[in-house]
Amino acid sequence: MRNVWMMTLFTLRESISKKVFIAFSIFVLAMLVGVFFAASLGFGDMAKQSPLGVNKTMIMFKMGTANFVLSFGFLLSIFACASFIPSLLEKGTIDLFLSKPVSRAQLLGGKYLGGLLIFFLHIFVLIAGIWIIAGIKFDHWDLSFLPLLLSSLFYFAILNAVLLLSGVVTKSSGISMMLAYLLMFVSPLLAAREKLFLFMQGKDTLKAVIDGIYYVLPKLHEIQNIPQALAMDQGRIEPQILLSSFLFFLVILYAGFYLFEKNDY
Amino acid sequence: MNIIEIENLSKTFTTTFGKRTVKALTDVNLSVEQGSIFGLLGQNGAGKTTLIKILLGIVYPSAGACKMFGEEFSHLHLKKRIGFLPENHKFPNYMTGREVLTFFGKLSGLENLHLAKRIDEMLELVEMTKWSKSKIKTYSKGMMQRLGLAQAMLNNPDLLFLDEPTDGVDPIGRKEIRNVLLALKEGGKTIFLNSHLLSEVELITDRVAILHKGKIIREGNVHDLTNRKEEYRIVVDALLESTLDVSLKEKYELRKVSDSTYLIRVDEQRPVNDFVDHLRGKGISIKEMAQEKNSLEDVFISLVKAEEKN
Repeated sequence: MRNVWMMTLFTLRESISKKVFIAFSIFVLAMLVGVFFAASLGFGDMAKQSPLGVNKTMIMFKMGTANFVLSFGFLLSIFACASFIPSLLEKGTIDLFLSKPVSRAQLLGGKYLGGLLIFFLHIFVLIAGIWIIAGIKFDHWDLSFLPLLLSSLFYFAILNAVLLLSGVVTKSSGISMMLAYLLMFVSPLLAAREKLFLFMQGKDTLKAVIDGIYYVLPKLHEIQNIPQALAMDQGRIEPQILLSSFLFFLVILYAGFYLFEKNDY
Repeated sequence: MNIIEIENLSKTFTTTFGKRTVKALTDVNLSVEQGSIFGLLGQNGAGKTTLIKILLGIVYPSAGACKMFGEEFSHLHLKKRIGFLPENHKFPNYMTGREVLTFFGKLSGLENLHLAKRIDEMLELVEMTKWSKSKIKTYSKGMMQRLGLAQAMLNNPDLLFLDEPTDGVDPIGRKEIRNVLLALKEGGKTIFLNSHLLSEVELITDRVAILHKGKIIREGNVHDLTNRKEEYRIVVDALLESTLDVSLKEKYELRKVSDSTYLIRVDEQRPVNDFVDHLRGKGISIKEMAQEKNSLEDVFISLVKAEEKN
């Protein structure tokens, strides 16, 4: 465990040295300042007049703001973490690491957790910041907003696993980034596939393929919306969303560790 | 006692889709004695680095067996007793020299209290103390090598693998590194050295193996490999070509190198003692006499060329 923690801290240090960590921190702080000003624009009075009621309007405000900011946060996180595995696998670096009494799983695990830690630190500040700003400005301290932290962490854990596998296979941060972005952008389209199918009359094979892709890939879009659905009582959460996403996460992560264990460097 | 034992080791690299295979090592058999300096020589692409990487678990063998310290080489705990300086190593350039040593020291399992003291000792040994707080990105190639060597020795390893340790180091630095390696050997450590600099290898190694296209083409004691046993160089105070009998000159294949220096060929049928007796019988004073030696470079080139012809 000590070795994993050392690699996690090493990854954190790497991120700070590349200025990505600082850029991410500046982004989070700028977003919080933006949210603070947005919350000062008389939204409290608007919420009182809303037909949804103050509580639900407040939750919608917080969720909407957080999801909007988070989508940029995910993009930035992918950019921040995509180089961690390729940099470890560089010739002259990997030899040094693998010659130490540290298992390959510990090396890779530490790097993976380092990416998660960087994401968590920023997203925690962002979500907690929005919650505190809304609490102070509107005296609304509803805890139903906080599960967003967990769903965001799961969302990024999946993307980070994709970065890990792609990094191990391609050793390219560019390709890793592209794959993660692709997954992010495809997810809302697949979630809305029923609407897309209206334009695909008679193309049953294509529909089946799209359906298949939907069930194989993680349901990132749905995962991001789970806290809002829970807080707003918008129907029940389909277990397959979490299960299939978790299965995808496990398979991708396992494949990354397996290949790293088996590869020559 | 052998600290490394390699039996029929082979490695074949296969490209991603298996279209092309490259035989990096073929049936390599090798043993390295504890407390010795062993040199692995070979041209670029001969398989030297692959062999070291297999022993360190960085590359997996395709066939064969390796033992280190009498145990199956892949055991992770063995790495606590091993130090490694890779060729063209890359340290995180945003760290200082001391931070690099601290990080890799901890990764090697050293505890904080012992580690700080050990880092000071190693920095002093490689003469990097005054640069220890500078960022790696400001280091020259030679400084990187020195730091790399310090990193490899940090855990006080029993077995040290060095891949081109003097690469980029100036002549004075090279001599210092040689002295460090000899001191380590004196302390009972085993050193496995990969180097292109054959003259340097010759100066410090006890045994060498020459690797050519993945095969060991010669292994042996440096002294045995470089001695050209059948030739002696003799410096005398007379002109042998006019003093000696023609039959004797022909028998020993006498050749003049300079005014008073000659080469003779000897073997069981023409013992060197008989030649010396003959000279002394004629009242010729022998000023100097030594067995002719090939440089390791000569041996290496002739072996590789012979192998190419085959």
